[in-house]
Order: sequence, then structure tokens, then C-alpha cells
Amino acid sequence: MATVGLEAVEVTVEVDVAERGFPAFDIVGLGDKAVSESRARVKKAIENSGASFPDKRITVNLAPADLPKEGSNYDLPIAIGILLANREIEGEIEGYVYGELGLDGSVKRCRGTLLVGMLAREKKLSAVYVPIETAAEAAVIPGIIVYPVRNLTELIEHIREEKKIEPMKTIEILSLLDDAEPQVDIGEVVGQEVAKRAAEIAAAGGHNLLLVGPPGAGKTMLAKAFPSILPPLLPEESLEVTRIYSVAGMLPSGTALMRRRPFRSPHHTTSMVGLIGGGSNPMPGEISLAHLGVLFLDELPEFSRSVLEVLRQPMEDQTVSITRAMGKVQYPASFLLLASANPCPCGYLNHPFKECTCGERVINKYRARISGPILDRIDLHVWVDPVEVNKLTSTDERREKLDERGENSTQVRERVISARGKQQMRFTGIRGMYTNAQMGNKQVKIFCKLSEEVKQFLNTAANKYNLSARAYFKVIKVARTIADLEGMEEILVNHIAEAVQYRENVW
Amino acid sequence: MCDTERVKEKEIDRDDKNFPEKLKSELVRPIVKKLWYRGKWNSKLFEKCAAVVGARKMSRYGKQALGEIIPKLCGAGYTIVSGLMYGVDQEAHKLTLECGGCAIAVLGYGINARMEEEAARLAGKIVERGGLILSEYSDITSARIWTFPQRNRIVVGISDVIVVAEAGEKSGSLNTASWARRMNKPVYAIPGSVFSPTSEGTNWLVAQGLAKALTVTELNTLTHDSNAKTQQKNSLEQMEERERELITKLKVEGPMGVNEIARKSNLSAGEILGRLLQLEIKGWVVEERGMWKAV
Repeated sequence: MATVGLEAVEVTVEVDVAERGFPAFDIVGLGDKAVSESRARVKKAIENSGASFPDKRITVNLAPADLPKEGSNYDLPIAIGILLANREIEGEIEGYVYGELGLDGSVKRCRGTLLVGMLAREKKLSAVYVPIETAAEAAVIPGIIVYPVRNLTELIEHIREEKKIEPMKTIEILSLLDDAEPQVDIGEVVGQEVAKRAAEIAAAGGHNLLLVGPPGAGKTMLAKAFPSILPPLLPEESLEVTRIYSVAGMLPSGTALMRRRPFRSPHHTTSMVGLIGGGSNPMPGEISLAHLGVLFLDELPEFSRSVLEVLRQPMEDQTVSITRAMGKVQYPASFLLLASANPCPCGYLNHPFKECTCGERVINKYRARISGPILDRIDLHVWVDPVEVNKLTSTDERREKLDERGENSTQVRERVISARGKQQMRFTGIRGMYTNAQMGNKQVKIFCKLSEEVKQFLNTAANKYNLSARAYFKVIKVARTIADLEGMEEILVNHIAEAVQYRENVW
Repeated sequence: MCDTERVKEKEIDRDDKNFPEKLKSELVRPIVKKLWYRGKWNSKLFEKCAAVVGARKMSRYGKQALGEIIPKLCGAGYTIVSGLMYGVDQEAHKLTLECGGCAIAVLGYGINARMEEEAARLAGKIVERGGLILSEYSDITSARIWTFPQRNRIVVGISDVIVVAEAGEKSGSLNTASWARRMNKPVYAIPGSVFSPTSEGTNWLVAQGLAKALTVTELNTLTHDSNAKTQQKNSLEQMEERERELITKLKVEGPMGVNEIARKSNLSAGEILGRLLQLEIKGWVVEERGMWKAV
């Protein structure tokens, strides 16, 4: 199997062992360096597994011959092909064989094992033979038999029907999704009621969120707690995410599935390619790794401007196309952008006690690093106040009272899940639309009907706060989510009023 | 400066009949002999002028205050005079243009001297909208440390009332205020928080009795808009219980951030945000640097 972007393509390994001619070993079919080096690995692995490597002219063809192939995953099928062609082993093998060989004949982990399973199901094949370390990835696909292969000897014995490999049990996706691991709980964030509320709205409606505030206000802490209020992955979503991680070779070994929504926080020195993906053999970038999850950009203005600008198209289309000399690939990139920023280079602009030491021009320059189009795509803009020290270390009595009042992630998450449920109902039948944030102006008009009174209020607010047409629609979308959180069908004045508070006035 | 703009520059002498009477006053010392200007001379611009000046460094509070004050002054027919410097000056000019008012900018350097990009752009707009750029310095005279205080005397000279928006301890705006005292013109300062370094100068002016604090009432008398407050009062009874509760809380306990209100009341942050915005639209509360207070 070869991968083109996230798509798997079946590759047939043809082996010819000729009696005549000088002994040689050729591999054709546009393989890369790893493929051509596979000759040495295959030869030694066969010899070290107790079988003999034929002293004959061997030609291996990887079909389709015009598709570039890369990686070490052809080792195992080539080895098996040679042994079968040389009648070293007699027998039948049906299904995909996939894996890298070590010199001692051990089978090593390979990227993209999940895709092998998916392809087998698609092509209605019954079995796959995959490395034992990554076999769990394929085992989540129902309807196929997964043979985890430890080493070449095991597979040879299996084909000779001397000793069968124990197939792996199919892993139930839902059973995996249930066991969420412990995370930072949102209840641990002290104070910051407004920011927490905004986080809840963002999680519920898939809205992008920008937190602006002085250093030490708790922006990063809040961001870390954010995954704990996100709704769980649906089974098909989980497969989609796992597929990306499988192709990127980033699934932890022994893991079958991505169980939680991904949370990616690339450092601000990340390059353009690192962010959106690419490379001469294109690989998914951070935005695709954050697919169906969260992309957290801490210190947003510190990212180079050109890097941020490339986010515009994927944020709009929820997918990214990368064109390289090798070809064109498309990766999904439907993520929630969570960004944080200081208000100015020194960080203390508008701080209640500390003085900002930045000049006007320095601030303007700093501000200009985030362009209008990027800000436009962020629905919620929130100012995060510094936490006063006495709130952190307040007397026990007050602290207890606070703890009582402060909600934990489970409570918030419940509301988020029910709000997402409402949105799912709303958008049934519209492909690729799951959240309020994804609504275009057309859908806003259909799904967000406003009563006369509410409309009038919104217009007054729009005049008073100078809302642009785009900001106007953003307010309605956010108000829709707020209403969903309350379980209301109708958008009320208070929903709109709250939504206006998250307008673009902190940056 | 490009040549096309050079063409627009003109001059007016003290003897000219259109020369502003106010500048001929004896109190304006040293006397202004001649003014260079850009734009179309219109004597009506000088009839009723308010100077709005302040520090180069402006806080969010200052910006917000200007946003309230300038439209009111423009609405009352004032021409807004300022110095085209970045910070409060430029914000004042911008807001004036936004609400369709007339603007006069008095420069502290030659009429054709090189300006910063932002200033040049704003100057172009002022002229476009029928305003004036003035300077007593010819051509490309460059700015000196003493040209700005001298410029302030013209700003004060042509204005009937002076508003100091924000000023730090050593702000040039304090110089403007002292010119105003010499010329017997009323000075208003926008008071600020005792903690705010950008309000130190304005608070000092008020404390020394050199300026009146610009409160809502003062602003209304200035703009003859006295019924604004009374209209609100009538509707207090019609207000919802929770909104009334919020206002009372803010009145009793002083300005608070939303986080604090949430901790001290039984309302959720979301609800408070919504209610406060509605109250702000109705004119009951205002936000300053994230703190909400009852008006």
C-alpha cells in the first residue's frame, strides 16, 4: 500500500526469480531510497530467519509502476514474495502484507497501518498482516482479520500452516472512547468567570477564541483546561483523526485510536510548512493534526506574519491543499483556533496596577502583526484580567465558598454536549456542517430567526458599537450558541447582548 | 512632501480681514503675525472652537472618553482644535471627522515640514472635509523643543473652551492649560483613576483648581443637552429586577469587573455580560478599562 495524502492506494508486489542470468536483486516501480535499501534488509532478514535466499536473478516490481513509493513498509511483502516465488515456502496467503524488516527478521512498526485496514475493508479483503506494534490501529476496523506479525519466521510458519498466528480481537471503538484520561479541570482555574464562560461558548459552538491579557493572567492555564470541556469524539470522527495521525506516524505505539480531540500547541517559531503541512513528500501539518480538535497558538503576535496568513484559507475551507512537484494532496483541517496574546510587547497595557512602558508606535506595530482577515475569523474576543493575588490566597472560608460555586469540567461539558446535540439536529442534511461557527450568512438567515424586538436591539447595538456587517453576523452566530447552551429555540435580547460583549474590541 | 501638496499652502496676515479676531486679542502674547495654512479658509470655522488636547500616550479609558465627548461637542456646533500629534490629538481629529464635525489642526512645525505617515494621512483628510491645517512656521521649519509650547498658544488662542483629555505628570498639555489661564479661557480636564499614570496630570489640574472636572453634567451644560439624564430617571421603575440589582450593586460597591460581580452575586458571568451591555446602551452604566460603573 502506498499513501497519497490521506488516501491509500493498493500496491501489488510482483516477484520473479529467474533460473538464468547472473544472480542479482532489482526493485523497480519508482521506489525511493528506503525502498531500494530494502534489498539489503530483505536478504539478511530471510537468511537470519532460517530460510535460504536464492542465488538467482530476482526482479521485484511494485505496481502501479508510475506511482512514486516511499518508506520501508514494502520489506515484508517483498520477502514473502521472494520466498513464495522460490518455492521456499508452499502455501497461500490472502490479504495485505505490510511491514518493515529488521536484519534479524523482526517486523518493525510502520506508519499508516490504520489505512491498510481501511483499504482492506474497502476492497473486501478478509485479512491483513501488519507489524505487531501498530496492529491495534487496524484492529478497530470491523469485518477484517488482523494478524499481528512479530517476525518473519512467524509469518513463514503461518503460511506453511505449521503454526498459526493468533488473530487480534476487533477493538470496539466506543469502548475506547469512554475512558477519558485525567486533564486539567476548568474548576482549577481561579476566578476568570468571563474567560471561562467564553471558553464554554467556544467549545459549544466551535467558535474561534482570542484571549488577550497581561502575562500571568491565566490564559495558558485556561487553554490547557479547554480540552476537558470539549465533547467526546464520535466514532467516525475518531477514525478520521486517527487516519491523519497514522499517516504522520504519530500514533503512540500500542494505541488503536485517537480517543480524545487533539490539542496542538505549536511553538511560535513554527514554519509555514510545519503549520499547514508540506515537504517534498507531503506530510500533514499542525492544522491537520488539530483536525476536529483545537489548535492553540500561544502568543499569537509572536508568530511570523506570513505563517499566520497561511491560516486564512484553511480556516475558511476547513481543508488544506498542498501542491508539490510530487503531486497534490489534500488534508482535512477543521480546527478550533484558540489564541492568546499580550496586549502590547511589554504586556502591561491597561493593567490595573502596572504601567506599560511601550510607545504608541511600538504598540501599533505589535498590533499590526495580526491582520484584519485573521481577526475577522475569530468570533470571540475576550479580555483576561490579571488575577489579584489576594484572590488566589484568600482566606479558607472564602476559598471554600468559591470552590462550591466554581463549576468543574464535567458540568460544563454536559452543557456543551447538549448544545452540540442541538446543532447536530439543526444541520442534519447539510454535509460537513456540525457547528454554529461554520454557518455562512445564508444559513444564519435560515437558522437564526430574530424577533422584531431582538432585531431592533441588535441594530441599536450595532450603531452604538460601530459593528461592521461581518461583525453583525458573528454576533448572531455567537448568540445562537448561547441560546443553544440554555436550551432555547429562540434567540433573546440577553443572548444578543452577551454576544456583543465578545466583539472585536480587545485587540 | 510632494509638490502637489505644496501648491495648496497659503498664508494669511494679521491685517487680513479674515484673520481670526480671537488671535488678535491682547492676551495672546507673543503676537501671531502671520499664519500659513492648508485647506480652504473659512472664517466660520473659528466662530465656536473647542480645543481637545492630551498626552501622546493614550489609555483605553482616554479613547473611550473621547468617543463620548467629541460627538457631543461636534453636535453642539464646536469646531475641534488639536495638534495633530499622535495619541489624544490624532484620536480627537479622527473622531471629529467620523462624526462629521469640523477640525482644525495647529502644527508645531513648518507647514511643509515632513510629517509622519499617519499624521500626513489625517491632515489630508481634514483638508478634504473642509477643515484647516495651521502653522505659524513657514515651509519646512523643523520642530524644536520650544515650537510646541508656542503652538499651544495658538490652539488656546482660537478656542473658546479647552478640554484636556489625558495627561501624565509632565505632559505638554499642562502647558496648554497654563496658556489658557493666561488668556482666561475655561479649562476642563477629564478626571481619571488615582492609580492611572496617564491621568496624573489631569487629576493634578483639577486638584489645583486650574481646571474643572469634566463630568457628565458639565458636558451637558457645555453642549446644552440638559434633558439626557432626566429621561433615564423615569424608566428606573420599569427596569427588570435583576438590572436594578446590578445598578444598585455598582452604585454601592463602586466600579467592578465582571469577574468580581459574578463572584459577589448569584448571576452567571454570561448573564451579567448581557445585562451590562443592555444597561450601557440605555446609558445607565459605562465601562472603563474593564471596570463597570453606574453613571
